[in-house]
Amino acid sequence: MSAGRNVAHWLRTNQGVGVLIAIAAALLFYYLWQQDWYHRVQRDRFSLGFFPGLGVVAIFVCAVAITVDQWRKEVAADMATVGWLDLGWALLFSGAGYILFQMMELLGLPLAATIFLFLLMTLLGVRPWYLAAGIGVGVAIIVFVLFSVLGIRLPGGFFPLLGI
Amino acid sequence: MQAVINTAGKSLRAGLLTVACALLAASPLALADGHGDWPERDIDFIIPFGAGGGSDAWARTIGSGARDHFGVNWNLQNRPGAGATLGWEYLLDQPADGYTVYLGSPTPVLTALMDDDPLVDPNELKVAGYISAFRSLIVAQNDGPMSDWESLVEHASESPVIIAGTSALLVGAANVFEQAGIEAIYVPYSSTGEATSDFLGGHVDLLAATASTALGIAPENGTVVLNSSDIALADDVDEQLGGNIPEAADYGFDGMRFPRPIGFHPDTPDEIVAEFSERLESLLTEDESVPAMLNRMGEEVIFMGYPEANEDFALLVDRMRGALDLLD
Amino acid sequence: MFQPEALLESLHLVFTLNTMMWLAIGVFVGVGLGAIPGLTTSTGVALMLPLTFTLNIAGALGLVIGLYKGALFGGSISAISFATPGAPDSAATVFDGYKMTQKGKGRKALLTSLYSSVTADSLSDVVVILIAPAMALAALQFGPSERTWLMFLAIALLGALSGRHVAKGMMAAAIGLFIGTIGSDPIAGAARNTFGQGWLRDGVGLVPLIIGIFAMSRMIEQGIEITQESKLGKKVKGQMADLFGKDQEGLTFREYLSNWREMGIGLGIGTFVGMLPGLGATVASFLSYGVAKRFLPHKKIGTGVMAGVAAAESGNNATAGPTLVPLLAFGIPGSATAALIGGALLLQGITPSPRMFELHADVVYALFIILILANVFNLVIGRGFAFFYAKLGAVPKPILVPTIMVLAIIGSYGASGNPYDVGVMLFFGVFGFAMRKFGVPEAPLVITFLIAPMLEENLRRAILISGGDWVPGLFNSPLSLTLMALAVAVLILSYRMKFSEKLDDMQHQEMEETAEEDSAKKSQ
Repeated sequence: MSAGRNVAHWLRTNQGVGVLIAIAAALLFYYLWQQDWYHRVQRDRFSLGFFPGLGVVAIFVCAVAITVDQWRKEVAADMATVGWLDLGWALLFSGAGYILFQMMELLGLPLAATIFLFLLMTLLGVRPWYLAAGIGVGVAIIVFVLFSVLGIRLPGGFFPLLGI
Repeated sequence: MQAVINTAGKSLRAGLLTVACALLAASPLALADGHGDWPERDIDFIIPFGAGGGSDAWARTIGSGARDHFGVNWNLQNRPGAGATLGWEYLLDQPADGYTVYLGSPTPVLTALMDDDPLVDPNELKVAGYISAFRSLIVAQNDGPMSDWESLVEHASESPVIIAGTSALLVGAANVFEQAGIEAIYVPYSSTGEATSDFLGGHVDLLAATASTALGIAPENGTVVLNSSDIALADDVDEQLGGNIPEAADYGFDGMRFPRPIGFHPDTPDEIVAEFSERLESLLTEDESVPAMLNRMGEEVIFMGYPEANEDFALLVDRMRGALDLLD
Repeated sequence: MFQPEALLESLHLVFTLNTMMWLAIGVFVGVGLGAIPGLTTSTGVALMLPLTFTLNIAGALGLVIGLYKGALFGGSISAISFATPGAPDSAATVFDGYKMTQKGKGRKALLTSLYSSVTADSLSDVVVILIAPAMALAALQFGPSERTWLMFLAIALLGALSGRHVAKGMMAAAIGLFIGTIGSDPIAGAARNTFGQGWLRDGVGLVPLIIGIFAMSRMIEQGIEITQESKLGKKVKGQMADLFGKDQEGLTFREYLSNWREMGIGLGIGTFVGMLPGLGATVASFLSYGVAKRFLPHKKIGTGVMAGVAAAESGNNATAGPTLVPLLAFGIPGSATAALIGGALLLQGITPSPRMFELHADVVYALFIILILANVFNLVIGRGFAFFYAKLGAVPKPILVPTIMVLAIIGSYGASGNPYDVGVMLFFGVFGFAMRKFGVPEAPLVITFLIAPMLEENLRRAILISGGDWVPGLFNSPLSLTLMALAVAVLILSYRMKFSEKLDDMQHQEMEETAEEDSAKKSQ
């Protein structure tokens, strides 16, 4: 029990995260090394993989430095409170963003953005719900009009299902 | 709610697909008697670069005259990415019905040739016409040891010459240097600005430049030694650059040009491609406003129609492949 | 060389209602566009270029230059108000600008940004007008080897941005280096490091990377914070009332003057970086920010102070005039935007080249006058926008966060119309979020992402030119030797400074910093 808690705490320290990053960098390097292109020599005698490899090695070295330097036992300010749930939220938000982008092609920008804004604002606590809906519609229309007037290509049209 | 929209979308799409299939099935028949219905709707015009570049400017300019000559609009779409082959790949994913065209340049061809596993095969384009072409001009320092072709050849016999430029222009220079037996170090640049700046600063011997870049340099800060292409310079440009610029053919070399092709999916019916080519030619040559606008932009119409351009394109791809090997 | 009649003629060209109107429209659209994430100066200038077909030369130049300068400032507005840089060149403004907004000093930050932008911009224009030809000649001395050492120097100078925990800063730099190699080999052109994804062949775009790391990651962070609070309804109403309530604190003249050193640093670096082809305003603003942070430690840049905003913003705006130097002197477009301005000149039948000074002296003078005038318009119009956005910055988070997310998605797509850019932006949103949680600074990543590919390109060109020999390739001129010596000196100096700092107040400082961080957390 307390050993488990110790491990959980250690994972939050610079040393813990540093070890994880070092492992990730090592795996990335292994992946790159396995690729055919990595070893192909260019006409100026650099191999195609030299500079990417340099980057990964540098990441690895820095990650190792983090695990051994004077701050290794410290926990970064924001690491103390962060949990897996937060990562879940982060993925949820960007996933929602991706779905919004896909939906724009199908539903058009104003409708897709309105739905996205309404759902997210409600989730974040805008009440009553019709305030969220109203702001959602307003923002979506302003954004659509602004970008259209400027002549910037938008994903999807006004309302593709109606062919507009 | 989502499900309802999805089903609605699906059935709508299914309906549209049926109509499209019917139209597709009917189109060869209609075309067979010589006067097809094409084009019935707007044509998607794919620009494989972002807004603001040279290709984009060309597309917007000629697109402004599309309605008069095609009866429909061109729906311009910038689809940049992957060395301009992402837009090409998109073209190949569309039905070969003549409603999607692609504005090419040397860049996507080079990309496709340089990669082991390219997104597209550089031969997969049915070219309806060339609208213009670049020439690669070889520029040397004024009063330097290489300020004319003969002394350049002589100098190169002692030590390799160093030439800067963007990839396509270097390919043009390499093509002539190879025929002349000149040994050169080709230094590639991603931007014309940096290449020109390194040339003017004397960090490289020669510069491979387009005519419009050369106009900013010669005759004050450099001399055009050779026009490595197979197209002569316009008289006024030749004069501004110092006059009597020699061409590759003058020395018995096979010059190379870099066209801006406009092409279709390779399976597009020949009739449609030919029809497009004809209308494009009238747009670029008969129309008053479009050529005038291009002229003001410092661009030049060098038109070649279908099927000549399509045949030339296949040869060009082969020659670019050969010249690329020279760079190594 | 000076042609008085031409100057008179140019005055007639410029001081007309028509030219003034287009200049005002240019600045207005520019500031507005610049404030929208993803829409950079070059997008704006490109969009307006067709319009210049219909205008006379002075009107066209007014529109394009006004737009350019307006957009350079405009980017900082959203950087300060929403931590969302409108364009990559204002990313460095986020650090101090947004912290000031969080402290309730958004308006002060916006005004600092505006005044330092306009000051550095105007002074750099004067420099351009006075010594353009000499500057252009100096810039030509920079060949591949000199540029290689210059990049080394830039990276060495930026050590200051790595923060207290050096290893983490270095790791961010290493990640930037790695991401910068995705795409294609600069010499051979073959695809590399694309993970088998064809669409990655052009590399990771700067705009989606910046929007992801700076804007999306913060929105994710704030979104999570909000979900962990409860009963927000009342709070929202309270904040909405604030929005239309009393004005925030402005900026006094004395405060403006107190940033003279930062503006000087920005002016110097921006002017120099601007006239070298390829580097650009983003590098200038980060460099200026980093140098100011390093050499003016007592200003505590990075904690949300005016000095940080002034350094970053004067750095990027000071590049505006100087990017035109190589264009005017040699017809070389120093940046994408300069190329578009060159395009606007071409549309009017004028080829940018040395001959322009003889053949079209009136146009050259008109261009100079417009460069200066645009700053005045920027000042007036920028002020209006700044107040408006300062208000928007006070919109409650639950409304602001989803709205910025929508803008980030559309902006990263609209910048070049590449759908994959949206995915890249969202990926870096999560990545940036993770980096922030672990206390890894963003700035070194952005800087190496920008500079390392240029360094690689120039290094390899230098070696190629020397026929494969490293030593003659890289040490071929007094200038490269000087730059190398400078880079080494900066590295040694910063190491010793760090070392003595540590000895001096090892425990002292650490205690202070933790206390500061704690209080900053609470005040948020």
